[in-house]
Amino acid sequence: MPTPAEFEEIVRQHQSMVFRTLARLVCSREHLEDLAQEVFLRLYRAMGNFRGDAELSTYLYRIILNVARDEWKRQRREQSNRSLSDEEAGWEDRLASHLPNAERVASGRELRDHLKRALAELTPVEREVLILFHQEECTYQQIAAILNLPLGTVRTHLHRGRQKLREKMQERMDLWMTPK
Amino acid sequence: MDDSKIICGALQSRMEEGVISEFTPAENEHLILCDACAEQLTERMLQEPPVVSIPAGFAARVRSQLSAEHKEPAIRRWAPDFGFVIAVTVLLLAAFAWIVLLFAAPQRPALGGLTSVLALCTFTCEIAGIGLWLGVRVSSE
Repeated sequence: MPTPAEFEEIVRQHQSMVFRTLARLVCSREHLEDLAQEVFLRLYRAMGNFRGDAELSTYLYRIILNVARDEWKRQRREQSNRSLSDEEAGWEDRLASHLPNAERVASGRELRDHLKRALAELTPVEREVLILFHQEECTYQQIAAILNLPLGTVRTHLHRGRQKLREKMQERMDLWMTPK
Repeated sequence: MDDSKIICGALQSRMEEGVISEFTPAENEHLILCDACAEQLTERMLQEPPVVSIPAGFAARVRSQLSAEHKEPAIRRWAPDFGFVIAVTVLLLAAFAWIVLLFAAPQRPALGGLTSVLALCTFTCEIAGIGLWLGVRVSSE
């Protein structure tokens, strides 16, 4: 079990990975620091049971995914409690559609926004597999170990996730281009 | 060569270079219809990690949170076991005194002398016992 001082060094080594993975998984920057802190606290508490049979990064990714899943549940509860959710949804799209479509140029920011929304529409496991494979450059074996899934299932989720994400991106871009 | 193929080639080469800053309306329309380009775009965008700034002092805050949760274990320093040291020293002195009395004295100790030696022995054992008892208490604190 590391001392808090030794653990601070572990935090420094992994903090950028934790922040970027969480940012993409939860599709929000709100509470990001709290979530990252929760990841490291869970890691510290679990380190007593960590025998080094798996890599620390694999262990850490598992914790990140669990924290992200808890956050999705919290966001869903919050959304269902919000009475004006339907009113608020898509206000950015509506605002953007006032511009003349023929002259509109899709900027990087808008594309990133499309991607964020399209990712949020995937199932949790598809989103996790896509992010681990493309962003974190994990191998199939690593993803299988992190998610505790067979290799074939990982491949299927990756293939299906890519296809769905592409379709959703195209739908969003189409919606963005089409005058309302 | 039709327009679609020209846009396809131009777009794909731009994406391979990693230029995903903006798309013209024509490119946008193409991306909606061309699955290959749309797939490449999404993959490129996923590979691009989100820009997240780590709050200053984050690691130190995690550490202070940990210290608050679990009281930091006190640093274990070597401390001499005074009771044990006193007890051993006194016993060694008593043993030495015995040897001196038995062999170095001009006469073997008389009964009276033996009594005083036994008294001295009892006294040293008591001191050694007190030393040991104190030593155990200090070590357990």
